[in-house]
Amino acid sequence: MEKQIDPLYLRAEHTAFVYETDLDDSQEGSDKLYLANLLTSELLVLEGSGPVIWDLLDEPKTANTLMTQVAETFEVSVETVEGPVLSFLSSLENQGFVQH
Amino acid sequence: MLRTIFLHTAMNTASLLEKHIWGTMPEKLPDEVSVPLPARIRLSHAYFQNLANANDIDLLHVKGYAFGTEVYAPNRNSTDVDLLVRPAHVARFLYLLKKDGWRSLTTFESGSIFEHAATLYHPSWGLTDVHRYFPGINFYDQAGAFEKLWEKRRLKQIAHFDCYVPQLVDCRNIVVVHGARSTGHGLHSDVLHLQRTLTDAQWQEMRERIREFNSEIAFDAALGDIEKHRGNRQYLFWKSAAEPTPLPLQWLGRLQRAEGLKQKLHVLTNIAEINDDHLAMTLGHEPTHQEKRHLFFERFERILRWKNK
Repeated sequence: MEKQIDPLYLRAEHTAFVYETDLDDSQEGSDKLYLANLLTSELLVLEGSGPVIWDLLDEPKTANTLMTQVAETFEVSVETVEGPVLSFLSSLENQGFVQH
Repeated sequence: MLRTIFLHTAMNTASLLEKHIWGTMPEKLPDEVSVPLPARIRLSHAYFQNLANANDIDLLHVKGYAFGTEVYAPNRNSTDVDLLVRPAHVARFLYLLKKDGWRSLTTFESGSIFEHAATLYHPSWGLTDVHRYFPGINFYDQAGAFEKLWEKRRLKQIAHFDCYVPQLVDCRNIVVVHGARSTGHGLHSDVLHLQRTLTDAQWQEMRERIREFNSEIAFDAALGDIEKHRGNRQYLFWKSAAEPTPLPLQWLGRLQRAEGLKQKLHVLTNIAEINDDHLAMTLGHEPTHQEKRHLFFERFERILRWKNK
């Protein structure tokens, strides 16, 4: 049987991002992340677990690894996060923010 | 076209179990739910660098968030991106920007008396000033001045993206000579901040570097020492930039600074013409013929009033 290769996801090169906490001291505690696709001029606002997943993509990893790490971060089961994480990755990929 | 999309992934440990929250993404919100200006400007620095990298354009990010607290006081806000582009690359860069949806608000000629920057606007990224030279940094050899700055450039991350900025001493000098354009009373607040925070040795290093650009006059004008340069052909120009000066003397300063007949004629033409872009920005609407006529004659009335004083 042919072995299926799990693709590695990584941030696209042509992206830039700013944490709200980078903007000034008064934003301490905010979890917002502003993300830009430098080719399409499209901007995104990520909140809650979005920035956590973006941070985890600081190096290439498979969807399985990512789901495991998200589950560990939020102390829940992998099954709980599987659907949302895959959907989130797919959304970012469609808009050119991540590639694999 | 701007598409601001809000990925509603507001999650914490407790709400993570409520799967329906995950299920709502992505949710589109109207354009007005957008990225705040300080974030947008930082992101647009990255946009420009990416565009420059892809098209072999040499540019330096100057002032604002590109310099940040290395040079400015903390919590100082910026409203646009300032770029200094290699003069030979300016036309191609502007072409690329217009192709990518940027709209020209002012041209180099209509932007200011320095004729140094064109202002452009993009619905996603906001405002940018594209500089073909930096006022106060060797007006008479703009390509040479850029090359000097470029040779000593460094990479700095803005919005987690590598952008080219001048070396630190050049950043400080740019802020000082920019302060010479304040036309206010007293020194510019950015210059005062540098005076408060830098050592004598650091000021000496800046002075030595500005000498390499033959640009001590703007530097000294910013520090209130313009009188050291009385007799210099740029003296009146920088005096009128740094201090409140009657309009006719400003014009004379521009004429004295201009090199050769062609440049002097250009200044005269520029003085005589009504600056439509500038007037539109002042009025907040396209000027009418009547408003243009009023401005044209009002300038001559100001000369008469000044002569009769």
